[in-house]
Amino acid sequence: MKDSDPSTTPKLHGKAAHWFDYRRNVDKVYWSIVGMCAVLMVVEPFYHKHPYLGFDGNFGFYGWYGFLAGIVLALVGRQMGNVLARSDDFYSDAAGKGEDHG
Amino acid sequence: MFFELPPGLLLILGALFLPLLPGTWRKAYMAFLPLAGLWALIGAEQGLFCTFTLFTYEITPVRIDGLSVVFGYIFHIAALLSVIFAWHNDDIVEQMAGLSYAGAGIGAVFAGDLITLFIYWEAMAITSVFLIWARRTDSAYRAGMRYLIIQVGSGVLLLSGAILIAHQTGSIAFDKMTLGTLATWLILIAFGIKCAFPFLHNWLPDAYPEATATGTVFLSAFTTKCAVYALARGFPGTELLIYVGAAMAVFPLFYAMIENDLRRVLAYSLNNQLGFMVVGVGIGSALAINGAAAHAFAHILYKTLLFMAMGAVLYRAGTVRASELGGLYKSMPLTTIFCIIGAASISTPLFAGYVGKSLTISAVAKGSHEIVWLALIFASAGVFLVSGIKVVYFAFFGTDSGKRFNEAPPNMLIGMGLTTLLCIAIGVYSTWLYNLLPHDVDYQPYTIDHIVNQLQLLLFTALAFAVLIRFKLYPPTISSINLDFDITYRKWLPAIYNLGIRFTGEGWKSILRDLRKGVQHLVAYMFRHHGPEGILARTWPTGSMALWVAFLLGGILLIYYS
Repeated sequence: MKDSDPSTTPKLHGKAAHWFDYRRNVDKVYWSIVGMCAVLMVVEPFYHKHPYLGFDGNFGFYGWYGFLAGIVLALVGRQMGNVLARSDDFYSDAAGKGEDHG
Repeated sequence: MFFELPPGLLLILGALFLPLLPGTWRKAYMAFLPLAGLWALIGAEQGLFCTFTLFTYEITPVRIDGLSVVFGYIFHIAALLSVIFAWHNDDIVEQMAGLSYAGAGIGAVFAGDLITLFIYWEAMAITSVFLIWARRTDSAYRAGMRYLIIQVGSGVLLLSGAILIAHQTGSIAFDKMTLGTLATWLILIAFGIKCAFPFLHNWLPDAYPEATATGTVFLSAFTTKCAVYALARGFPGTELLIYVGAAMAVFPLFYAMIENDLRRVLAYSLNNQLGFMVVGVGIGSALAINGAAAHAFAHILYKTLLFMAMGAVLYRAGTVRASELGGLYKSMPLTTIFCIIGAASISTPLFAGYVGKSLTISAVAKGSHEIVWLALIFASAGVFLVSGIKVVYFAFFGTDSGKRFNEAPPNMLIGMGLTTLLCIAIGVYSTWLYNLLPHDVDYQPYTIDHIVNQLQLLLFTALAFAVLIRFKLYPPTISSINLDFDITYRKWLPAIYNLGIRFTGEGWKSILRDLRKGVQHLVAYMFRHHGPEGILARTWPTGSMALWVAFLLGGILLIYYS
């Protein structure tokens, strides 16, 4: 794996690199999440469901709904940030003006 | 009751003696007070206590029953944990404010009438603002001022509603109310402000992140959960609350997603968790009220733990901005572990949040509120993403900021450790929490399908986060202010006011200017015609004028006597 190349190993601030400083270890975490998700989908047919509302009994409902929720939250949040973000002194300007009036 | 003192008053009166005690004794005494209160509550009988009559109204300072006692327990526990977490802090203002604020919160949940509730309600506002001001920065002062105005305003609405109810019914008892009159609407709005309903919520993400590292830990526990209790007591089964709660559970998540200040992220996610409790109150069934109470109990613990972890980071790093942190697991490993457990406690099986939240979600499903249920499942996934994964990732992992700090002080670690133990204990042994709830519970959170479904929800949410980070789709962490509804009173209303002042000022000036001009014109006109050089003064008829005056006087005399 190219990420295990020692030349890409971060030498952070002259201190010994930690486990997460290696890209390959970050990849391990990533793929282990993918693996656990896969396992949770594989077990779907092997347990008895008690769907509350009908549609929550669909195959892997909680899985895809959770995934979708995360993606929607991030993508909508990103657009919201574009519209709503202002500089840190946005309100302090107003406060300053208020004081001038006072 | 301890020394026959009502619960809560012990902490408030006890706080008055703090300045008399030297350093370590004072801290031991601070820890003793909530412990003593808790001990007294464990042995307390249910019923009404210390009642007396005031101007024909029955005042009930203490009502101990199933609903109040569960909040009473967790408030004492939260006070104790917060005191331990703040043990290193020698600021007497903060110590007194923290303890008396906790006392006011405890007093409020045991209040049996609206006037007692109002007194504790306002006491909470006045004592808690010092936890914000104790930060001693300009922005904390301003945020504290806004917070105080809104909180006191909530009390004024509560008092107005209470007076109207007293006038209409002749009773000030704090019991279940039905929406429909002005009085009940005023009281609902008063509760709604403290519960951070949509559009009334801005004080929460505005003020909590401005408080001190230890102050926010106190703040996160009492005010909002006291409001949840008040709603559960006053408005159970009010359908409107189901939809208000669902909106509350969803919309703050988007703000939490893009917010850079990690304590503000937690404040928004606190708001979102209140939504679950409000939905539970709105449904109003025994299962749902149990859900709201159990969730409040669990939520206080894990949110306290998360605010403690961020408090420890703020204490050491001087900032909790995601854009300035990262890689802190290297130098603050224990705080990292506690924060991860706090994140897991939001809704992972074997942790507190799971056993608390499951009740409400089941109650929603049993009520066949499909859309609300979908909103709550979305909110469950979302809060795990923003309040759990995001906070842990950006503070302790993520891109290494290169900053290294000492681990949190021992008392902070002990505070976080004890909270962690409680989060796990309640998660593993849910019976202990369920036995405290106001209604008898026959609910089993640990069934195979429930565990698998919950793990699917959480792990796939984690996968979504991992994918977003890997493909650089996650909203960038930029230091900024995100506009929320508070722009109305922080920017627009002052701007309209200033515009109004300028407009009326300019308008008045121009009216005066026109009047002055008019008078000048009139005087000039008169002078031109009647002045010494005027056209009517050419003949200078002084004699004829005297004649005309005499003639007029004569006329008046004739009219007078006729």
